[in-house]
Amino acid sequence: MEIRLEHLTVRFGQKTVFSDFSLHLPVRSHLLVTGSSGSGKSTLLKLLLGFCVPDQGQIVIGGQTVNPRTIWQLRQRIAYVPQRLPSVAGTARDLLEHLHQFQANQTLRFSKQAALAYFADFGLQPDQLQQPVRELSGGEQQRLAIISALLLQRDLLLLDEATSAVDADRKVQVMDYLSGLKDQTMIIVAHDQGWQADHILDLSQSD
Amino acid sequence: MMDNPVPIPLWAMVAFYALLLLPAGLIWYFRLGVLRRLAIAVVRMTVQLTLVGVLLIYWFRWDNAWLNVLWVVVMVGFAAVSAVQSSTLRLRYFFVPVFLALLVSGLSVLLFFNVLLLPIREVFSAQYLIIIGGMLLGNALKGIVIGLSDFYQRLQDQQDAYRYYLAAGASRWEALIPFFRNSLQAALNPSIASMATMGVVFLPGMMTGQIIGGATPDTAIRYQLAIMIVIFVCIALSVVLGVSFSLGRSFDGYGNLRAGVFRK
Repeated sequence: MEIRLEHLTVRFGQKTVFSDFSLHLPVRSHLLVTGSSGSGKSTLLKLLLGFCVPDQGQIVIGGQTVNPRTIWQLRQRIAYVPQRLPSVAGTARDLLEHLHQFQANQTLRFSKQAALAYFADFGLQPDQLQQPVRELSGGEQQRLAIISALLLQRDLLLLDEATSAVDADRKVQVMDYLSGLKDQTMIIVAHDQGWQADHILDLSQSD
Repeated sequence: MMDNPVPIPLWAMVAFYALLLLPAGLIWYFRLGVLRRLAIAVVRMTVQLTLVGVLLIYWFRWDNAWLNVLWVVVMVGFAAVSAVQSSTLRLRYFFVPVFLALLVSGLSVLLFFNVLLLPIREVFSAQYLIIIGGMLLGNALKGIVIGLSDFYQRLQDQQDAYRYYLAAGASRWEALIPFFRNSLQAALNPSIASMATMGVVFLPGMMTGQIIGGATPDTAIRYQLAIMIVIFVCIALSVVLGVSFSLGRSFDGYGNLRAGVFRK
């Protein structure tokens, strides 16, 4: 999915996070977004998901301008991996199945085999599928969040510090795997070194 | 048992008020700082109940169906204001949804109760419509306060979970279901607990009133059972409707909870 941010201005009270900010990301390209805390990295992802509405300018995803009418369909083409998986009750399997029960995802059908294949790819044990999410370590939860995003088979993947809690050895493996996904457009917000991307945006320097 | 209730003479009322000096003294001694609030609450209670008493004398004398329904509607209005103000939610967003939820759930359950018990011409009689309506609304009010507060507070505290579901393609309602489930549970739990202990731990107010008023324990218990069931139904309905009716105003078109929903 192609992404265009056109002359965005975003303010939170007195603070201006983006001022006349524009960005073009071609289809199937990967963008690495870096920058210090508060530079607007997470806000950028929130803007794309409609969780934050710009004061000025417009966002176009896959040819559609983000607005209250289009956002619901657009979210069905996006997968979002948060830095921390929200505190949900139930097992890893319950979470994955829950996401597949949404009307928009019912055509996908949850496949245990597909889930376990991803578990193997990301170094999780098969029995961890039955483990309560809250009992998984931070790094394991992050890998579960990535797996849940991949199972949804979306065109656009948004990763928000998605490997920050994954241990060093595993981190490289996860980064390599995701960097190798060439069919999806990807925006990777990260402090971690080692991501391979087509474009890099350092928000500390953009003003 | 079958006598009319013993009237409370004026001097006895004075004695009851004098009894308040005891907790007031404790509040003063331990510096709880609620003496002023207690005084205001007692004065409000006295004035409000006296006024209601005077009005009820006329309403019972006229006993006009339209006026009785009007009484219930006004009561629902006061209940809606009181419910929203005793939460952290903003009246501007929640008065209309809570008013409609209490009106629809209260009136429908109330009419069901009256139609089952009374000849059709007495369904709107003051004795039943106003008195049972008051009991229903008082309880539904507590339920809707708990339900709505829990729903919106939890949603704000766990916004990351709600957004995670939205980002995964959930509709607004699909993303809200876990929060709604919790709020309904929170609203119904006190009623379930009080039903379970009723008659063992305490004698309920309606039953006590009826027995003092001269009813036999048999009749009083049947009324109490019936009223507990309709109260429970009314709470469940009012929470479901209250949350449903409030969704339209509380979220923007993107599904984000509006910042103005909570009082500062």
